[in-house]
Amino acid sequence: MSSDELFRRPPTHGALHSPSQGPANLADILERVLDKGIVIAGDIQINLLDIELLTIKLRLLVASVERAREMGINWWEGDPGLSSGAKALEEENRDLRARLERLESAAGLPAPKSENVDASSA
Amino acid sequence: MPAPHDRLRALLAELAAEDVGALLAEARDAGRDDARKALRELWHAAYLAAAAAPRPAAAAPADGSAWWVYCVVSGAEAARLPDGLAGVTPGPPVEIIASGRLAAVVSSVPLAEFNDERLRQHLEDLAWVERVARAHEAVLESVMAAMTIVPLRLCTICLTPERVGALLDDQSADLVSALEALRGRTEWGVKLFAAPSAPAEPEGGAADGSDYLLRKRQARGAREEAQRAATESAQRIHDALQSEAVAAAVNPPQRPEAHGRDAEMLLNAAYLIDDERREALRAQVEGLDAEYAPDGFALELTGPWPPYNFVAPAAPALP
Repeated sequence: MSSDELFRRPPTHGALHSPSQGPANLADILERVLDKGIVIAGDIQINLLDIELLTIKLRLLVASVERAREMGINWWEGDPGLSSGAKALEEENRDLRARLERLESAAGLPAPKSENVDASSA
Repeated sequence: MPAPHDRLRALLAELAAEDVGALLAEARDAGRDDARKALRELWHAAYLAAAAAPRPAAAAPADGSAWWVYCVVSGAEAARLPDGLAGVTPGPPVEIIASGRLAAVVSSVPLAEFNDERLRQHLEDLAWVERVARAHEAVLESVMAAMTIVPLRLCTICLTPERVGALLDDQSADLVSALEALRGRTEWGVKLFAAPSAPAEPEGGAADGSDYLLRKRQARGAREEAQRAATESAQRIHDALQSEAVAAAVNPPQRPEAHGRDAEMLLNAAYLIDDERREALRAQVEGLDAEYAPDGFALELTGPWPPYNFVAPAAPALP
C-alpha cells in the first residue's frame, strides 16, 4: 500500500530541509506565525479579532475537524489544497460501504460456487 | 354663586398639593424615558450611517509605504544581515532599522495592500495567508542562520521607520532579555504518529447476532487499550526528548486534514535545544523512532524553526 510505504519511510532521514523550503506543511507554519511569536502593537491596527478568528479556524482544522463540522464550519472543504485527501477518503468510504452491503446481502444466499471455494478447500 | 365649585376647587388644590411630589417624580421618569428613546434613535441613525459609509483607509495616504517587521535582533549582530533578502512583497529587500541595543528586520510594503481594510480582506483568503506566512517564515530562517532572533507574529506593521524604532525602545528590556535567553539555541519540532490500527473486525461474517455483538465489544476494548498505550508512549517519548531541551512546548495535535499523513498525530511538540546538542537531539529522535517503529509509531523531526514557541506573546521571557 502506498500510504503504508509513506508511513514506513523513516521520517527523520533527510527530512531536515529548512521548513520554508522543504515540505513543511502549511499547518506547521501557520500554527507558529499566527499563534506564536511576539506581539507588538504596530500602527496598522490589524484588528486582532480577525487574526483570532483565523486562528480559531486554523485551530479547528488542526485540532478537531469533527467539532468544526458540528458547528457548520467547513471552509477548508472548498480549498483544493486541503480537501483533496478528505474527498478521496470520503469516496473510498462510500465505495467500501456499498461493497459491504452487497457482500452482506450475498452472504444471506446459498454460498456461491466460485473459484475462491477451491482455494479454501484445498 | 358657585360656592360649591369654589369648595371643590379648594379641595382639589389640597389633594393636588399632596400628590404633586409623586406626579413630578412620574413626569420626570416619563421625560427621562422619552429622552432616552430620542437619544437611542439618534444613536441608531448614527451607527447605521457609520456602518453604511465607506471606511477611510488608514490615516496615511494609500500610495505610501509601511514597514513590515519580521523579527528583532541585537544591534551588535545586525550587520550580518544577508544582502538582497526578498520580503513578503516583491520589490524592496529586507533591511535593518536600529535603535539603541536592538534592531528590527523590516521591509517596506505598499500601504495600499497592507492597510487595515485590505489586510482584513487578505486574512480571509487562505492562499494569501499561505504565501505571506511562507515568505515571513523564509525571511526569519535566513536571518536566524546569521544571528539570534526574536520572531514577531505575522502582520506587525508600522507606518514609519521612526515608529519601528519607538516600538523597539518601548519594549527594549524585555526584548534584550529574550535575545539573551535564546542565544545559541534553536527550536525543533517533533511529531509522533501512530499508524492507523488494523481493522479489528475479523474477516468473514459473524455467525449470529450475539457473536456479532461480542466481536464488537472486543473490538472496542482493543481500541481503548491501544489508545491508552499510545498516550503512554507519547508521554514517554516527550519525557525523553524534554531531557535534551532547555524548554519544551506541547501544542494540540493536528488533524489528518492538516498534516496529510495516513496516521494519527499523538504528539505535536516543540523543543528549545542548545545548538551543541543538535546532533544529540537528532540521534535521540532516530533512536526513539527505531525503538517504537515495531509498535506502529513514527517520529518526525522538523526544523530548525525560529523560536516561535519560546517567546511569550506580550512579555518575552523564558523560564
